[in-house]
Amino acid sequence: MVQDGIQLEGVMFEAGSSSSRSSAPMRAVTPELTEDDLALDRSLRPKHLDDYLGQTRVKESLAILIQAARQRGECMDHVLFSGPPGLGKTTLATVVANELGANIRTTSGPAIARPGDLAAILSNLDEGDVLFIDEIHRLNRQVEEVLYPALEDYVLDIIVGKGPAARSIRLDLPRFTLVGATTRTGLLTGPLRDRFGIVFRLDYYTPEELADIVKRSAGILDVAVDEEGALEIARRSRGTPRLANRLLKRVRDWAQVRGTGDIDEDTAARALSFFEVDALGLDALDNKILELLCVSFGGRPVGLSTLASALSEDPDTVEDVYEPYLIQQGLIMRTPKGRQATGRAFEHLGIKHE
Amino acid sequence: MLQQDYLMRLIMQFVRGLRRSLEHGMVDPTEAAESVEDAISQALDMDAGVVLGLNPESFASILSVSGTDPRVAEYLVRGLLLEAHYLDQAGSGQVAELRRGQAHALAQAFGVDVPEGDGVLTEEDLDRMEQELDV
Repeated sequence: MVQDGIQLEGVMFEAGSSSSRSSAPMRAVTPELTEDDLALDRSLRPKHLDDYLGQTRVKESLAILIQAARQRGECMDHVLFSGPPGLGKTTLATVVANELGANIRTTSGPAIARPGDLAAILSNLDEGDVLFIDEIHRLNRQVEEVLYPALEDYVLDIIVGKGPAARSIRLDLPRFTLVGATTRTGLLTGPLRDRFGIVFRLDYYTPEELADIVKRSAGILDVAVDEEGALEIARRSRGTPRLANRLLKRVRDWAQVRGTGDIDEDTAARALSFFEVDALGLDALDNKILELLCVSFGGRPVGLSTLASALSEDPDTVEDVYEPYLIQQGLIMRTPKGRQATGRAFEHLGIKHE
Repeated sequence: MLQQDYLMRLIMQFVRGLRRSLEHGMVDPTEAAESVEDAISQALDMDAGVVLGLNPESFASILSVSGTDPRVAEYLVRGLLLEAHYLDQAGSGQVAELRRGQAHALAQAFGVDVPEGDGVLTEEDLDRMEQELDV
């Protein structure tokens, strides 16, 4: 009962704590937040909409909504950002707060374990604050129940007494904007989803957009990178800015030790090959999966548990961590009989498909 | 009369809860803090899970508008300070600070004196509390 988990101050990003709570080993190409990213993120994160690259449609809409709210002197409607990890949901939350000229309070769904934790956060907000809840799909139902009146009427409902004599007292809260982020929109309950006035889905970035991000980050890190070098890093970054920044850092290290320190296409390609990130952005484990499906199992469909055993991984990790990108790239497919390599996988491995 | 009986029962339960916490406090401050918080939750007679998370001013406001009896408020102040003491010992300084703030805000709202010292209660203090109730 002791509320040791109350977070009164800006909080909490556990390394790799996003959607997947698997036991997957740390990989260079994981889109999840790692400890290594944290320090990097602080310096590279854009602070205003003008600095934010990509997601043009989302940016344009946000610019209008923010300007309208500022002109009226009101809080902006509650906003939900959804999309895969590493695409900039947290960054956008900070950008929204900065553009609104508001303070941001940051927490995450798993950190708000009890209704009291949420009450602590809400009752400590100031007028106009932005409250950012990452992984909002992991809020429990009891906490959600407390959140609903706070979102709709800016009040906390508190039940006094028990049984037939019970009554409700309302505590007024300051008006605030909730920014929620989720990697799993499908896990949000209907009532919670309906209370967001604005919902944005973030898409994977194009290589050109990512190349712009790489160049911006290189400028901040004081690394010389040319157009082709940036594009080479971008192509191997799985459409994810977090990954692009991480790979830039690795390439910078390689270029400093093995090259001139400057990054061009050849340097980027050699550095990333050295770190086992291939031209499609696949790492050694991704390629092992393709080899198993194409070579060891001869291109036949393979059950998830069989594949997991062959990789010495648990099936959930294979399904949640490794598979999605391979499926997105059209390298493997799910069939009723199991996972099967596509022609593109054979082509990628340089194996003739019979 | 019924109301009076109810209040006496509530406060006696609370004092018994504090007495139990003293036994735990000898061994494990975390358990002692939980024990005090259970006693406070029962004495609050409201959604304690939410109320105990509120900032001190909101906490005191809710108790004022909910019609909490000033005598209960006085005991709650002592309970909150005792819990803060155990929480400090258990290394939960942030929550301890919140409880201390709630105790002071509650004392101010109900015109109750805040006991001096670090909030620790002794068996003698509890005996005295029970004697006061008997009167």
